[in-house]
Amino acid sequence: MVILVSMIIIAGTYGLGQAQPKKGGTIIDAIGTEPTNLNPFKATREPEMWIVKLIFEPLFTINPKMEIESLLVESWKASGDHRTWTFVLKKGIKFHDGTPLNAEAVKFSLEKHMIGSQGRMLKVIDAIEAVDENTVVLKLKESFPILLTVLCDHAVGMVSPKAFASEGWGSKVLVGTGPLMFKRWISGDRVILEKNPDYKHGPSFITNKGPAYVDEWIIRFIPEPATLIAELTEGNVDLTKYVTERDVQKVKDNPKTEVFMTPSTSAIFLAINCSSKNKPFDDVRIRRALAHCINADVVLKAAMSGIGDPLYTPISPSLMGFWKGSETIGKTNTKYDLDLAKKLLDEAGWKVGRDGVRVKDGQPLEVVFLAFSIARYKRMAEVATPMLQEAGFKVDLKILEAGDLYERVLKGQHDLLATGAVASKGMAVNDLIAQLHTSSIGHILQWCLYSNPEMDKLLDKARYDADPKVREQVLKDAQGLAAKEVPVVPIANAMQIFGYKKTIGGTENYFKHPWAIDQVSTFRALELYKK
Amino acid sequence: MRAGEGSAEAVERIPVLIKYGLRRLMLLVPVLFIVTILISSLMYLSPGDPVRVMLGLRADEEAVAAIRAELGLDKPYYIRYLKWLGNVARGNLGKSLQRNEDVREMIVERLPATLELTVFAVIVSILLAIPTGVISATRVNTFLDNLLSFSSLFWISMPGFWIAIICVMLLSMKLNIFPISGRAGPVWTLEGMRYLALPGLILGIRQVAIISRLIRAGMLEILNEDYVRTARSKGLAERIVIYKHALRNAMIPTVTIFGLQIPELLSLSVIIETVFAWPGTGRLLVDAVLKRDYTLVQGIVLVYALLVILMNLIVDLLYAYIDPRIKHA
Repeated sequence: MVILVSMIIIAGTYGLGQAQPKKGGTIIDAIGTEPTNLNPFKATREPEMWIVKLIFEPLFTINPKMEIESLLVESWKASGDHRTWTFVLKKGIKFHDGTPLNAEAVKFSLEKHMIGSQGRMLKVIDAIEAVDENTVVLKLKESFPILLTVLCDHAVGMVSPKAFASEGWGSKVLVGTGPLMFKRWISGDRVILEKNPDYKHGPSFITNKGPAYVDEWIIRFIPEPATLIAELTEGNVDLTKYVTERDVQKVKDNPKTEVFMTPSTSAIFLAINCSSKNKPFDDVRIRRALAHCINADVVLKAAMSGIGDPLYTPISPSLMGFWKGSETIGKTNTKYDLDLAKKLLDEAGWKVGRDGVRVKDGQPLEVVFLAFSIARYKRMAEVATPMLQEAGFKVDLKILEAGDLYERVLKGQHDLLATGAVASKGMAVNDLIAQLHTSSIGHILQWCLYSNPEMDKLLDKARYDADPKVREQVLKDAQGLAAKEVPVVPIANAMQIFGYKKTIGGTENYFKHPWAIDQVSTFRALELYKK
Repeated sequence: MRAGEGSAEAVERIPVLIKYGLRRLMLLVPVLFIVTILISSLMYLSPGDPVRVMLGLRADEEAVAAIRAELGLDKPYYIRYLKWLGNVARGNLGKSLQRNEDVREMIVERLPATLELTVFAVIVSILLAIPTGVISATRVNTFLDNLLSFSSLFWISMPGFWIAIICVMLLSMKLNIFPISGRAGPVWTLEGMRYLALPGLILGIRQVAIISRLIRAGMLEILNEDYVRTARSKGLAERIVIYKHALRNAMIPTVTIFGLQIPELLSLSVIIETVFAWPGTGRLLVDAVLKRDYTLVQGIVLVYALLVILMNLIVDLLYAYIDPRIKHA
């Protein structure tokens, strides 16, 4: 009896000693640019997704062990040929307008996504049936064992059909199942979200299953980086993921703020136009020469203040399914070695002319080098240009804003492009397909206009083969081939940088997931609170 | 006759000024028409696809084509322009390509913030420029005059962006006098005024420098005129000589220059709105240009052109009122 009473007292004391998350209050988040729209069927850009993911949820998510986990689904099964998938939804989940998350709503949402900005990923779906109130059946055009990697994308969120039909959908009306509900969008100033009091279905790896601790979550738009950092360190902003590499030390040194950094899924590189029509960059020796004459460490230091992890392949090592062996191959083919670059160019018949520019058959070795006008890419291009010139390339550098640049790249009017795989979905197979599969040419992420039947075959098998061991092996082979082919000059794997005030609690739980600030940023609404 | 004499005659001239004003207003329509043609042509002919910009990196050609058709962007640009013009004639500025919201509503939502900023800057510039210009002119070549002259040159020379950032660091972060950024509500509230004060001051400071230099130069010329010497010798108080006789004449060229500064104020407001995260139409316009939101750009430029034309008309009428020698036949 004495032991029992002691245990109860100790347990109670321990409970009292533990800091309980404080409920209530407002968190002020800040982003560097106002979203264009928050319609999940049209939103694609990072400022939009940072907000959209708080309101809308996909059927599945990814846990910290990089395993797919259910979010809105109770159970699921696939037919033997992976062409028919049956999902039974969790009961009792409602949209923010009170309508139920049911099979019809899921059918509606997926059909809208199929013709929206995420449509490419969902092309494999042939038909969707709402069999009963909670059961959805997806019939696919072909065997697709990795369907769940598409359905766990937080950009493929479920939408209330009733809300979609109302006036102002996309800017005044936004209704999902997420931990936060849309309240108001003040143009040019902020988006205001409020707690979803009925939210209770947070995934297993989240400490707080719901509802959110805070009552209100405000996302302010602060376009000037200096002002944003000022508001974080001295003003009323509580957290932001828009801390640039240059400002990391400032935020770290401030006694009121902290910085958390984690490798992102964004590979930063110089994409090479490998099209067979784009001589001589269709020659792998020239591409390797390009890579060997670029000192990636110097470019990283100049463009990103040295903050980034080494990169040796076209895709980020943080992706699900990344094969470490490809880094060894990639390193051999892309390490900085100016003498080797010159040797490769000599071997390919490009001899140094009188003015230092290499020439072959009377033609100079010209590089049309494009870069986004965003500071990071502009700086990358400016620092890389003299390195290319040293090896004997004649460089025509153009810094362009997005609209103009997209148009030129789609027409293949570039040889080299300072960019990155910044819209990664987190899966090695999907990123490789987006960047290097022939079917992706014409799609803006195929910066390299790369086409290789061997790569296509490997990637198709990696997607569609029924045997997971075969899929795993061919994916490794595809990554090895990509590392040998050098379609990009790798610069670095970017870091996700998250600045926050020390008055924000719950960060130790929030940061456990490697993709917390990226693909699964939804759950910051559940974990974080004001101390 | 000098400006300031014969106020009865000035009152008699009001009907003439009204007729002049109405004639100028009739020119409004053709001028706005030319402005819209110019801006629409520039937008439609510049590279970049608004749908690609909207959908970003992951959209495929089918999604792009579908949305292009939905927004009517698959039609020739002159057809789109004529359709837009027809809607404008009926008071409809169309829908934003990116946000699918009514352009007029978007402008109405953001324009008050820009107007607050620019009107505050104008008031500040007048309130500070007149006394500093007069002091400089009446204490010419003294330490005070030299200090004010140096200060004017400083504010004219320094880039607005740099001044804004330095002021935020010093006055907001270090001294905590003003908030760092944002807008807290209408200007007639205390909080609203607190947030407006610093961006408004910085927007206006360059105008203070320019206008005070103009007043100084004008006053220096006028204070040496015979009639001013006569007024002093008649025993008039110095204050009356300076403010009633000399300053009024010195204001004539100043009012003219002030009218020319209005478009500059509107374009400078873009920088101030960006640094201070001020939710005005300046930033909205820049975003719209970068995102190729044709209808929104056309709508905002139309409104800005209208504002500039109307402000210049007011300045012209004021100019004529101040100086009766100006005859608007």
